[in-house]
Amino acid sequence: MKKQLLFIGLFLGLSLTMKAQEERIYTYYDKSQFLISWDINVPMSNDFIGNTSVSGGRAEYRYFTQRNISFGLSLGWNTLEEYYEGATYTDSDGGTIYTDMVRQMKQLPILAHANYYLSTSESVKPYIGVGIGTNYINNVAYFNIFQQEDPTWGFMARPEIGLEFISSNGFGFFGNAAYNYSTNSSEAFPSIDTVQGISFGVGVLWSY
Amino acid sequence: MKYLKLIAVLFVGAFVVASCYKNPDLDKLQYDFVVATDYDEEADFSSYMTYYISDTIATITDNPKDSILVGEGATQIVNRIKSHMDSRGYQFVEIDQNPDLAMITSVIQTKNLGSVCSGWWWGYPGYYPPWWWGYPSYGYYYPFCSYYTYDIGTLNVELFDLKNVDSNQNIRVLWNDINFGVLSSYDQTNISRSLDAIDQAFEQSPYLEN
Repeated sequence: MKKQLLFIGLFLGLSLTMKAQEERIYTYYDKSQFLISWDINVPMSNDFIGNTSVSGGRAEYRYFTQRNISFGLSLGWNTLEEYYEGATYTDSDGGTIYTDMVRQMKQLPILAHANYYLSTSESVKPYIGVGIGTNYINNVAYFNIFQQEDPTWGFMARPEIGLEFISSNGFGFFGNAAYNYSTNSSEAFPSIDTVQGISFGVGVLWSY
Repeated sequence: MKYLKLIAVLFVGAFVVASCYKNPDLDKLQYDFVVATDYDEEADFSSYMTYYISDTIATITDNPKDSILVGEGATQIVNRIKSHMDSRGYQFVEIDQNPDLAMITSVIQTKNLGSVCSGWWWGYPGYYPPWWWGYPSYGYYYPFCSYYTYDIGTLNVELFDLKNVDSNQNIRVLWNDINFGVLSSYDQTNISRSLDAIDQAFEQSPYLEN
């Protein structure tokens, strides 16, 4: 009888230990991610510059409060640029200026993010998210050897979808697509009212 | 080990940031003169018949002995303005024949000093960040600057109303055309740019017509 009780006791103890280990394995997940990406920006409803930019990037940190929910911060940068042939521009007083020019919009979005991961897998993580923050845009027109600048700040919102692939050592890569909306408007360049665009990013990440 | 990875990621990041900061590609710019015109919106340009323009061009430069435009250039510019005025229906008369309008052409040349400062962080060709060689303790390249001068020219054409001089002897400017840009070291290029600018000034001022 004593032997039987001992066996039952051992069995229960073993199974409890095993269960605890399973839970520990299951509840452990990487809490932090660093991400860096190369971004392509396609401007929309923007009369100032229409050219797609491949000169962009983004650095982001994400902290996971749960296995499938992260909050983070990002700093992005991209430069839209386009050459415009000689054309006339008339102001409200009738003054007219003729020149060709190179236009640039140098953007620096600084955003706070919330992401929801559709899978609890540690290796393949599709997600949807939103970023909210501010966008600094320096609008510049270069003509002859002169330049006119108009730096602006605006509110920015960025809904985003993405997919992460993470290897067992914590390194991985990811891609995302986002719609970017900023309220930046410019007095010097009245054709800039809001700044909208689609962006695509691919990059590397480190999860730990 | 983890810190090494973090440093590696940050370095890659810094490199991406440095390479993506984009300097404007200004190769396509024509360096034609910028043409700025303005006019008195209350003026009735069809009420004038005759004009006078001097065949000399006033020049203002840093050096009193300097002159941008030689006689030939000045003649070409004045003749180009005349031909546009004639085609708009105005008649050239000498100053003693009481012209309705007078035109004055002047040129201003200013010298400017500029500088270019470069360091490896601007992606200057041939320079790599120190860690590229694996010797982080090897010194940085100091940024260096080179200075250069350039000349900016302004060709100014003004149209005055001699027909309606008020009791205080004030002469109204009805129209002006300011053409400006960097000057070439070749006079012929500058003259050619000036002539193009004058053509453009009249093209963008269709109201200037009798």
